[in-house]
Amino acid sequence: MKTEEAGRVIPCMVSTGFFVLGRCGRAPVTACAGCGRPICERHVGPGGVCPECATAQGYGSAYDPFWTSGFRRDHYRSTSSTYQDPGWYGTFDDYDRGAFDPEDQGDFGDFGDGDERDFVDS
Amino acid sequence: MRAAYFAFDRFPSSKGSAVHIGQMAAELFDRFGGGLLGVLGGGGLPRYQREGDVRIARFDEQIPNLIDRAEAYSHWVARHLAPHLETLELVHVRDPWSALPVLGHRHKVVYEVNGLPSIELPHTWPQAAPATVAKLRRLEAHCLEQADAVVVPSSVIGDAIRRMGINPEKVFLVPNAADPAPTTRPDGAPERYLIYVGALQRWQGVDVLLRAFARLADLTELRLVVCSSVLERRAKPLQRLADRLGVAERIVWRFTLPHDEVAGWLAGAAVSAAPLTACPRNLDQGCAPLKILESMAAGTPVVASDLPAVREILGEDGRLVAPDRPAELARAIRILLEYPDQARAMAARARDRVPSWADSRARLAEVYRRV
Amino acid sequence: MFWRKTRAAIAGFHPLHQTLIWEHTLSATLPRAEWAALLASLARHRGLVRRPKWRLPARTESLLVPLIRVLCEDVGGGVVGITADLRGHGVPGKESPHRSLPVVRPVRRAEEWWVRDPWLSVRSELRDGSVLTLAVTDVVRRRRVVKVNPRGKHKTKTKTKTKAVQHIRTSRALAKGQVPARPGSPPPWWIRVKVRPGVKTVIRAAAKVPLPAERDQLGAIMTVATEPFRWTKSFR
Repeated sequence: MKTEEAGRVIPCMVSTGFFVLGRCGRAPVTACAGCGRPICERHVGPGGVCPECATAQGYGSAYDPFWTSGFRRDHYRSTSSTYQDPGWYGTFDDYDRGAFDPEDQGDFGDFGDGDERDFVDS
Repeated sequence: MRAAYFAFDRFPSSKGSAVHIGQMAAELFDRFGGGLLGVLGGGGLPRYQREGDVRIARFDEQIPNLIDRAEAYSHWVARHLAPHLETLELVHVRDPWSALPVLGHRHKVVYEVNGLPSIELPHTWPQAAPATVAKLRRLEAHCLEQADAVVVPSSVIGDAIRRMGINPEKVFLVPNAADPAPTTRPDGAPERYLIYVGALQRWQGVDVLLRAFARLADLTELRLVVCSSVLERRAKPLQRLADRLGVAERIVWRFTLPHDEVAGWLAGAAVSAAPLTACPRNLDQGCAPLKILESMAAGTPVVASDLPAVREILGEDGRLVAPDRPAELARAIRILLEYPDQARAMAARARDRVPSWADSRARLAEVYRRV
Repeated sequence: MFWRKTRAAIAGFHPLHQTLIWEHTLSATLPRAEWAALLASLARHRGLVRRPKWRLPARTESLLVPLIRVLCEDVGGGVVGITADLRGHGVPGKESPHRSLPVVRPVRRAEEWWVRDPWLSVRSELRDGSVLTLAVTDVVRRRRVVKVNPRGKHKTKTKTKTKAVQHIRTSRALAKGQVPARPGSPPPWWIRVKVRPGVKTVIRAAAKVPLPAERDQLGAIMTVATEPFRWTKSFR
């Protein structure tokens, strides 16, 4: 993943917030060594990884600066089953959803009828 | 009600997935004496329908945003499942949106993986951020971990799933299949033609086929038939490309034909092409293109890209060419056209190796027995 | 030992950290950066303070610290107010008057009293303009029973029985004009929800649960606090 695409700098893509989800959006300084997304100074962890990749290997105490990232994932996972709410699990925020709006079809042209693209098309 | 099948896919439709859903669901409902089939609707399909002892429910809410729609669908699945939780024994799903709401109950869950959204997403939705893809990957891994059995159509995709750390003992191969269909020569079919059947996403490589076809301009009577499973407006970029290459008049376009008509077109073709590109979607995730199996079942010689997933199906009984190389594709097609006897012999061998749906369904039944 | 060095270390802690050590309470309304300073100070506690008497009160590290971290994630430019009383159920002032219960032999005397411990209250201004409040109260019933033994000997035994529940109440007042949408699935049966429409819609969720073990309390509180957030569209 490049931090620059078509002359436009992609901001830091780390998810922020706990209940009110959002994207960091600061200027990136590097790309995550794990998943490759652009990350800003504040979100570079040890080893040059983003908080989510850092906590993927297990997270420590609540004093750890990236602790909330792992805790958020566990929390959404457990509450999704407590609430029987499958939509809650995915933690898709407005930015995630934005890419899937029908008016934003890129070079695929406009096809707003039933002929939609799915996630999987076999 | 003892069984249910959920798919975030329209059924019936002209896509290959619909054939697959039809076969797999039929096996499930045969085994459990009927059940609930939950699929996507729209396009005039009835919201609720009863076919013998199978109840079909279709999700047809018009929600523009795909993630919003998928989540609304998940809730819809949960609502349709709730009244039957006491009696359900097995639920078969095809995607994470169906899997999420069915996991965590007393019934067993069989998760059939024909594609991994996290691998396909960057192809179908190039503007989706890597962070979004990562979330989807986690969602997918969670569903795969929780499912009691994972069914895959090819060993390439099975390997991809094992690489995700899923217990290999619960991953079962149930290959795609095709049954020879009685065929009638379709109206308006040209005398001699190549055929492409399927959708028109970039990774299908139809553009490579068009470029290859342009190199066969000396065969003036030869036509290319494109049986698209998607609507005409999605073919616009390809039609423009055909114009630029000067082959537009020699291409016959057919859109969203019913499955049995496609069989007729396939059977009449001189060569069937599956020019899949060598992108991660096809390489890492793998695929089990029904078009290849159906061409084989129809006794039509196949030219396809040399990808692990394709080799698994076709073996030596088809012409494999390097992907994304129009010149090589053109040469392979030309050879098949110039040596029709050898081509027919190869196609006959290929027809013998196509698994029938009965075989596949028996393997699926075995999975149902084991969970 | 006079613990001079430890005392000196404690004197260097954040003032709120010191109050937690001496009084087992915390009450402050601060912006995010100030809370971060307190957490940085708390993080040094274990390394510098060994004396059991001065260790952080129970529920500080299992509950308060994670809660501060979570609240600060959502706060943006606003402030988070937290009042926590971590002195426990046994301190004076939390007990109701004792009352005696009617008894039959072999019980000679029985009395009952309640402990109400509203030990946590939170108010947080979130970055989407909504305001989250959280209140946790432990209610404990205690009974002391005096029995004679079956042969009528005048020996007495005193037994205390305890039954405890935790009330968790949360509310979220949405920003002006923010429209709630009913989530696709109802909450679990043990969480009650009320929505009061108005210029600022208020969503309340409350639950009464058997007092969870200390390590499970954060989970219970967070689960109840989740409900009001399922009502706003983009966070489903």
